[in-house]
Amino acid sequence: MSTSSATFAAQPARRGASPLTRRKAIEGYLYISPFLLGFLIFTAYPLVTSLYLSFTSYNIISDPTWIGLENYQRAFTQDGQFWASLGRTARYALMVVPLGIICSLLAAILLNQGFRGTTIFRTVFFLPSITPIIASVLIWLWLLQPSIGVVNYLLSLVGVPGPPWVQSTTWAVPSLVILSLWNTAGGSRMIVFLAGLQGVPQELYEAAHIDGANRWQRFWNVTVPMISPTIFFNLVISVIGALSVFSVAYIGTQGGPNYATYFYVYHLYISAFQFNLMGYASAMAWIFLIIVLALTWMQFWGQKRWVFYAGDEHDSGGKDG
Amino acid sequence: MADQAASLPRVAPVSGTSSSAARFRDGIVFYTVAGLLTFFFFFPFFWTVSSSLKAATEITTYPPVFVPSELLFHNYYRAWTKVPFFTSGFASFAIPGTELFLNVPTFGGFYVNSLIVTVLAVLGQVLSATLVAYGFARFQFPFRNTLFMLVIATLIIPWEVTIIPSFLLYKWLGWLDTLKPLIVPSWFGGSPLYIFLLRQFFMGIPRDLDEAAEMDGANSFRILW
Repeated sequence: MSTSSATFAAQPARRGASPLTRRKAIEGYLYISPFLLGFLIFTAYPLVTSLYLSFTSYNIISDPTWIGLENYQRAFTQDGQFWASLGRTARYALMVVPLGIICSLLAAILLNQGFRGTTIFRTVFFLPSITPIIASVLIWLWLLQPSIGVVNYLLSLVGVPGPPWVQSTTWAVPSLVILSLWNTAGGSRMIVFLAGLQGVPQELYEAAHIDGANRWQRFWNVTVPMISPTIFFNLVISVIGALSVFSVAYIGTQGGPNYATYFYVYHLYISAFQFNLMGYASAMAWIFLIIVLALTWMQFWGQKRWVFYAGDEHDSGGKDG
Repeated sequence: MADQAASLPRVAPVSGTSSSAARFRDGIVFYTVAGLLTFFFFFPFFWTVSSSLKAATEITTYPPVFVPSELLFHNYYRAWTKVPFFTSGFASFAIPGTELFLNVPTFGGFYVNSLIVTVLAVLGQVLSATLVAYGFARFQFPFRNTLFMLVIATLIIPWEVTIIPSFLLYKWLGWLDTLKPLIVPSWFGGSPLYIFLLRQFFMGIPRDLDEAAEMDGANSFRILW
């Protein structure tokens, strides 16, 4: 998709260019000015401010006082919940990202088979992702209620004793994983996969078929390479989403039981808005930003090994930016 | 998003080469798996609707009741009147010359808040993202590609990082406990994702059309419009 922009970029607007190109450039800036202003006010300014605050002690009421690296020191060495919450978040992400991607891909493959009723199934799969998060959490807390919940009742029908779900420290995180799968597996991630699958040229399957490749081989050797840019895009977005897990813990479990779902961002939120440790929370936010950027960078670096871009004319998935 | 889901083209069967027996076998697998997934995705909705029609006693019985013994549509009436959906209360006006008061429901409440936020935010989002995307797609200016990378980069900045200063900013602006923080950012390009999608879309429109309009004397805004 960058090909067309490259063509236009072939006539660059340099200094001393003709009045027309200069006028065009000014016009262009005018059009993007809402973004520039918005970026400066609502992204850049808060970003820089939070970096500054991360070096201060600040409780909103009195002015921030500069304390250097003390917040960072506190995070790494004194605050036990810092590492603990980070570990919990990582464990949650390690469960929810692969499962989420596999489920979405499976659902997309299913919907790509062209069977009757595909439209209805697609709508049903998509429905949870447009359900407000609060409603989803409340419904699932209810369904997963250990003693009278429907899930454990259904499990008891097939002779499986249901776990105590969100009321136990072992099962709280898996419960939230189930909730997240329900919420996101059929959502935009599945739609992106579906678009990717539809971009795979039919001839490749036919050629592989003639060469005697069975279904599994066709999947691994045709589908997966051809949709790898889509998988990559979904992976990047899912990792960021999983690390930012907050709402389910905030609404559903309040970090409990016994800190089992006390995730990193929840810790940040509590530090900022319950203990008014704005400086410390800002430091946590910047550590988080660096972690996210590092992971994203690592994925972009690693994609060379497994993501296949089908030449210049590729537009499968088309989400590689 | 729902439109996106609905507007995808219908899909052709993946392998036209398989025999009808194999197709039948595939069909069984498809409907079994799709059926199980449908149960997983749809059951919570069924449960919510079913419970919304139950008597209070049936909500917590075990084993659970799937179909209420009596459909109590009255629950909806109670929810509607118990919670300020459309009204924020009543205002009393003395009727002149009498001892009587007229109670008029005041406009406000949950849905009105949501409605105001939705309408204004969506309007701002659509208008500003369109302008910005048009600017990125159709104009040459220094640092264009760098600035566009900035749009993409804002996608991966977690909101947690900016939440505290944003809170302080809104506090400083006196916007706390108002709907403004939910609306105003939308008027400044809003979500970068939409800028990205719209730009892709604009780039798909042939430039010849723009040039023809320009020949006819239309300015860039008219071309966009």
